[in-house]
Amino acid sequence: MPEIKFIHSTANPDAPVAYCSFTAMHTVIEVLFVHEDEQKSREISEAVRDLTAELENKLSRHIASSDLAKLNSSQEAVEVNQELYFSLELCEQFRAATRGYFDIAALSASRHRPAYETLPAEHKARRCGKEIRLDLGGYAKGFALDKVKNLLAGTYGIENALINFGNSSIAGLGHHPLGDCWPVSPAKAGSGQTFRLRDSALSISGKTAGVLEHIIDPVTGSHASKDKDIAVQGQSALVCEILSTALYAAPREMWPALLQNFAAYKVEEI
Amino acid sequence: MEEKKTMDRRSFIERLGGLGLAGAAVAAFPWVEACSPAANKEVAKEKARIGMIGPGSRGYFHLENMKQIPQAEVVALCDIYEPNLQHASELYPEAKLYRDYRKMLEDPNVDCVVITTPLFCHFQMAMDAMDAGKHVFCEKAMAYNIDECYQMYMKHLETGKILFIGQQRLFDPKYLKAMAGVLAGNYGPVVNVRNYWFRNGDWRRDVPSPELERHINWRLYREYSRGLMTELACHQIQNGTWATGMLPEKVMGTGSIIYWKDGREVFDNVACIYTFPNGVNMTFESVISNAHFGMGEQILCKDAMVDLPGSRVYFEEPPRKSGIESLIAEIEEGIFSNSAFAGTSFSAENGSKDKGIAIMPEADGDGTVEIMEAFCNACITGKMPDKVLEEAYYGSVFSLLGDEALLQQKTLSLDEKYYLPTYKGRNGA
Ligand SMILES: NC(=O)c1ccc[n+]([C@@H]2O[C@H](COP(=O)([O-])OP(=O)(O)OC[C@H]3O[C@@H](n4cnc5c(N)ncnc54)[C@H](O)[C@@H]3O)[C@@H](O)[C@H]2O)c1
Repeated sequence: MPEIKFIHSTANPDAPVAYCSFTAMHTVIEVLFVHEDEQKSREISEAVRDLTAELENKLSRHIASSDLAKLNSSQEAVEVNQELYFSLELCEQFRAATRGYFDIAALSASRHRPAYETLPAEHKARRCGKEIRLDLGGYAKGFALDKVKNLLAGTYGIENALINFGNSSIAGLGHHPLGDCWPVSPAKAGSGQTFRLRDSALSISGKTAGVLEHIIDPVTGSHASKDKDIAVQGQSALVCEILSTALYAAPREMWPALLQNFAAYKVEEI
Repeated sequence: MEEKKTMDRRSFIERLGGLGLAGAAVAAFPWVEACSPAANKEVAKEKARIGMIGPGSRGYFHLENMKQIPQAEVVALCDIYEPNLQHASELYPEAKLYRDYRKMLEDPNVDCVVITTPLFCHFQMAMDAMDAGKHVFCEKAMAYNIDECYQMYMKHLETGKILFIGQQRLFDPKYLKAMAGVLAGNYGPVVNVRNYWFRNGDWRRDVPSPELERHINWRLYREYSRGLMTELACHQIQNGTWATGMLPEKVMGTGSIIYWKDGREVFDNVACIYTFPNGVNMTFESVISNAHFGMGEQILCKDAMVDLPGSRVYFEEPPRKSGIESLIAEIEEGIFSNSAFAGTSFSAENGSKDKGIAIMPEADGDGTVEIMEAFCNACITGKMPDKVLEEAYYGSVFSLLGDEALLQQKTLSLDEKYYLPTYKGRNGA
């Protein structure tokens, strides 16, 4: 289990604040919430860490023993855990809704689609070709973020929290203790935008300085590249994540067609 | 626009009464009570009937602001320069016009005067006004020399008239908030105060006809002005005495005209060092032929540097904070601000340079409206807010002493007799 950095402060008696961070899903995950005592806050932090680590184990292709790693290396149908099965189903739906631009098989050498099939009776999945490689990188953070949000609000009754998955997927539950939302701005110099998160999420896709383009245009198979990053704000962190990835991959002229299916989500270039 | 400003002011007052300025800090800024919700309530529907002397550039700005202050009523305007008088009159057509301020002081409809004339006029106008039974708001610097400042202060004590000096930083929420942190010792002891003001321009205004040169460009001539020290330094010197709670023991400095050799008499570049009794130095530097560094007011403490106009604090050892961790400190301090961390996936190696943390990023304005509002309230209630005049007095007096040091090329100390009987600072403490 990753180690948790935990802080609890009552310096402002009107807003006791708890913070935890840990490394998971190849990034730093942080949660900040208010109005809980120290012991309860520690318990909540551990629950968040446990949940995230568990989801990572289930959805990562980098962990050799994971179901997804097995699926990626087997020619046969592989029995997969509930979360992965559900995610595979969902991702196919999102691929259709984004006209092919959100594609967990984008890294594959093969352009064959659908790239995989799910077998409901046996709870199994199978790749449609040995060149297919499935990767849930553009999905797992959003998926886990929504789950963490539900854990905080549902199980622990937390009203106000800010959850940050590696700065690129962020969710605000309720509002800042001294304001009416969680205002979040891009770190990029000169970008004047502020996203006022209140029971909503934000996802940003683009190129990370010093890192090779990691979003692939599944239609052409080439690395997508844009001058600006794409930010999507809306209720579900998962949808934000999927949509920002798809929009970054898609050429501009495809945007209207993609956005049609996501009217409640706000898109900005930053 | 007006609507927005009113809202901002309300939130300023709320913030002062609320989280940010609790306990010891309020004791340190007793004057802010003059524009507290309680004070505003006390004067609700009452008016301070104002006569303005010298509605030039600064005066006109105040006149515009007064439109947003319900308790301000402009009843009279006075100027010896007709275009400025007419311009102001367009804003307040119902105000009575005067060409001689002494006549205006006889007007029983005038409760208080706002003096926005050139520096050399401040003393006589303020003294005459208090003698005539009027409350006074006088723009900074307080007066042309130290003795005049002292006499004005004593006149205020003697007549019991309200006297405000236009040192608006004393009412600027950004400054109040930052100073509260400094005075509470949050950043460690103050070890240095750095002030600078760099511009690149001749500081001249257009003159419609040559005989008006000295009237319009009064700032450039010694007869009327003490140049950079009274026009710019006095705001910043006041920060130093405010932050340390002490009065400088001595000042040395040098000044000259290096670039704008156009017949002006005041220096176009100055550098002064003030030393407090505990050895802490405060600098003021100003150059008006290179603007690269802009304006800065920085309180250097052992553990952090406080940037007053930028409203940020930079800790000496910034904890390596990613993403939202800095929110903890902000919530502790009662700050609501944007967190600027969103971006493409964070990788731990991208450690950024310390950007500091915001003290009060949402603050709008610079205290000019609030100080005028506090003045109006004081005129109506007749209650002089505590310590505000003393802070302003020393700001002016030490700027003037700095100018003396430049002129005499000597290290100077303030004559004991100019320490106010009511407030001598926390010297040495
Ligand atoms: N607090 C601040 O941030 C701030 C900013 C700017 C100016 N100021 C101060 O405001 C004052 C005025 O500066 P300004 O830039 O507005 O100057 P200005 O020259 O624009 O205005 C001065 C006005 O006073 C009038 N005047 C001169 N002698 C007079 C007399 N005997 N009777 C009546 N009117 C007379 C002039 O005709 C002019 O209209 C100065 O003390 C300056 O330091 C303060």
